[in-house]
Amino acid sequence: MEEARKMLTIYRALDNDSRLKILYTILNEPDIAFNDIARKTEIDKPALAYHLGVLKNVGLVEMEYQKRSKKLTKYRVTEQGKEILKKLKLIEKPLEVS
Amino acid sequence: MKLNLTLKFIHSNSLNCRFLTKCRLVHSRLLDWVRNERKRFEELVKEVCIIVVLLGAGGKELRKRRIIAKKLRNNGIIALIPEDDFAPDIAPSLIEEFIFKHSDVDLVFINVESWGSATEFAQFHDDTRIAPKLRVLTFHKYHPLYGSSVSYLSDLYLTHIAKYGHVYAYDDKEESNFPTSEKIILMISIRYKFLRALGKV
Repeated sequence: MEEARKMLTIYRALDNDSRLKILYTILNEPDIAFNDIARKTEIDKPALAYHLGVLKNVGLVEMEYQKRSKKLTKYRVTEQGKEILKKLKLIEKPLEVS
Repeated sequence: MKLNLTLKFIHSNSLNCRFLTKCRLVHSRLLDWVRNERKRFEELVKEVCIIVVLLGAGGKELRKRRIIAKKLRNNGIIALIPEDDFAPDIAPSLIEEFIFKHSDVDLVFINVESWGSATEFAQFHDDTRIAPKLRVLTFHKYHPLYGSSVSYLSDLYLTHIAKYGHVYAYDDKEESNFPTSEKIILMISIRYKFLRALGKV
């Protein structure tokens, strides 16, 4: 039951056009900076920050904050996230989304 | 299986216009597939998952929000705390406006316990796209119906209650009969989740 509930939260997080796009962008380019995700996905920054927050919250992505760098925040898919995506058969071949 | 074959097919193609069209198509199929899986799990656990945001002050209050968020997550609810979950690259006031107006967030709890959260409440309380999602929590002494405060903020709460409702009095010191903010947030979120599952909200 707990596992099914956990999966439900993950599907809830993934059930969004922008979030799927963001997730694939990060999968294809680990440690990608926030501004680069915004540029590649063409999603407004406030929306991007929110969607990344949802993906992070369910454990699919993690962020690293580098205060002194020009590119402040970098994102990658977590090990747990990769496992989940493999389970969901979404990671067999990373998808280039337009 | 079908999905894997489709993904392999995409990778065997070059990046041309037809490929991009197919990508869009697969992306849309993928989204449909995710949606179906989500529905399948909803049927399985007889629940839905909602997204809530917890706003409030920092310091001790932030630690309190983290505890509440953990309890919400244990109940199958995605609970976001801006300080922990949102990228620091962008101003919080810009993110919040987007969340309240355009996102798929179900509920936003504002615990008004600092100047910052009071400003957030004042900024959003009368926006018709935002107000229905707002659940405002205030220390019982500042609640216009239960407290004795005559401040501008208490007066604004009364206006909000008259128009939208959803201003709740709490007592985290547990010195009165008012519930704690944690109890209010958990009870309302869980009930809202059930209502959503029944298609009533």
